[in-house]
Amino acid sequence: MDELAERYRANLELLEAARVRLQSAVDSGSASDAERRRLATVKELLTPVTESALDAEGNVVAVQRPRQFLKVDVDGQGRAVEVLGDLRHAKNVAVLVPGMGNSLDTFRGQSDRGDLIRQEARPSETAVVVWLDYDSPQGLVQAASKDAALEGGPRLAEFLNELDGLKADGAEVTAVAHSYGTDVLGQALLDGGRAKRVVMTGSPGITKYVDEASDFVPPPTRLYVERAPGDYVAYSEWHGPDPATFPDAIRMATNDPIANDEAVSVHWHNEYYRPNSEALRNIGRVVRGDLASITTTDTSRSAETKLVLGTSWGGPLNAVAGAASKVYDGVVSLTKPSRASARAAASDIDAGGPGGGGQGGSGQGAGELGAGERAGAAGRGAVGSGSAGSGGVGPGAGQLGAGERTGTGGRARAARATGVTRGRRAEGPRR
Amino acid sequence: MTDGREFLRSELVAVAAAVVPDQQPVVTHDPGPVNPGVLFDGRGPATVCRVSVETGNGKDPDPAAVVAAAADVLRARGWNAEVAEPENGHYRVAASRDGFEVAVHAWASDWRITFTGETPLVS
Repeated sequence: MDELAERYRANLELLEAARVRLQSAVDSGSASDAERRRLATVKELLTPVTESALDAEGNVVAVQRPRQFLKVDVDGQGRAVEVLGDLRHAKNVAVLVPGMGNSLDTFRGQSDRGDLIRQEARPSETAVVVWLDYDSPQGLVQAASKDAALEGGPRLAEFLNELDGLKADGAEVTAVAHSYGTDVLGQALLDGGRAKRVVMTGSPGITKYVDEASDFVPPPTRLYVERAPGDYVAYSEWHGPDPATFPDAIRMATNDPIANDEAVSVHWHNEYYRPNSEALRNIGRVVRGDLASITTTDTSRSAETKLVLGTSWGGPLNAVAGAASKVYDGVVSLTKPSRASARAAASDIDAGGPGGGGQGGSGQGAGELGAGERAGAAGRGAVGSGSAGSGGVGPGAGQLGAGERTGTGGRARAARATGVTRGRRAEGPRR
Repeated sequence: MTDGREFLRSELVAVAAAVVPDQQPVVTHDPGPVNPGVLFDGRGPATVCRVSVETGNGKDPDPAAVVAAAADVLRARGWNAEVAEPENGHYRVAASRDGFEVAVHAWASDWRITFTGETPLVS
């Protein structure tokens, strides 16, 4: 039995032993509510998953197999590291690092998120490792501290390096982290953890002195960042400068550059992984290495939040949070608007409203694309509309060749509104 | 949410069966309610259910044709469906209906076609 199979088997045995122990407590009437909840979790983790396969006649059949855990700990908050897919043979491996509020009892949601990433990243060639091997902060007071990241970061670094011996030679690893998970991942990278690519969504900042990717992501690794309109956690820069503002990070679009009424919009802090969203598609593109298809944006806080509460609140929130992180809980409560108001804000940006167009367009990011790489659909549309005067097109897109200025009106409007462009980027360091 | 989950699963199975009629679709992912939509990344009331169904033609896979067929079937069942531009061997359909979202994926390198759906967000 190889090392992977042995670890999978050993961790299932741990789960089975926990199930017996917890079931005994429940049967005897001595189990607490937490133990009852944990028993339900353990039973779920022991439930086999179903996959499709072809039989000898070429017919699609259902195949059941046990779940694959590299680590489980059922005590306390609980921890788990689960592999989705065939880690030994995958060409692409994503390591997903969850944010605050997680425990073994919420692992279902993170495993589900890992599955969504895998669906977007060519599942037959991709494995996703859901890495919850740290004590995720369980509330805002805990999340105000870097302690969990400082404690978990070295362990994640160790795992990322250990992964080299578990995956196929040549398989490319992308670390994907959300929210507080970006703190953990940032610390792991500072502690020597390595990945081919790094994706961060909704980051509250890495640490106070980190204000560019090269401060913590060693070349040739590239940092890909997503910040959705209205993401109050990213705006707060609670733990440090927002990675979405790093000059050497690639800021990916979270909303469709050719958006129409059917597009799935992404707002606030926890919609980055919605099915059919541009945010999730871009994460999939990074994981599978399809970097030419990534769409980017450079919208500002004020453009993203213009209409909410009748004013731009991204900047003030940033100032308030920076000055008084202790009242963060109250800030969040005051500034967490409804989904309707978020969509109104996005509509304002889409309509090229005050601040929206001027901040949008294909600015810095597109300007750094190679000359032969500036032919993205949204970029073409933005220039083709001839509406640069409305503030939608930055200097980068303005450098597009004449033969590329053929976008449709609809695409042009969307591109202008969301400040999004599609284009090829080199993966090496820019500076 | 239970009704939504049941509806979504039945729709995905029906569409998959229509797209590849000589095969039996497999429900590969149906874990129950999860919560992706609160400040706390994972904690809080469950708000959505996600279901995945897989089928395919192992003998003669044609991803472009199957996503086109999937879009047609979805539209016939009342969904708004849009076929995306192929992206380096990735073929997909995005479909929506009454707050439900469905993504259909097919790949040039795989015989499978995957139907992944999500129920409307319960706030």
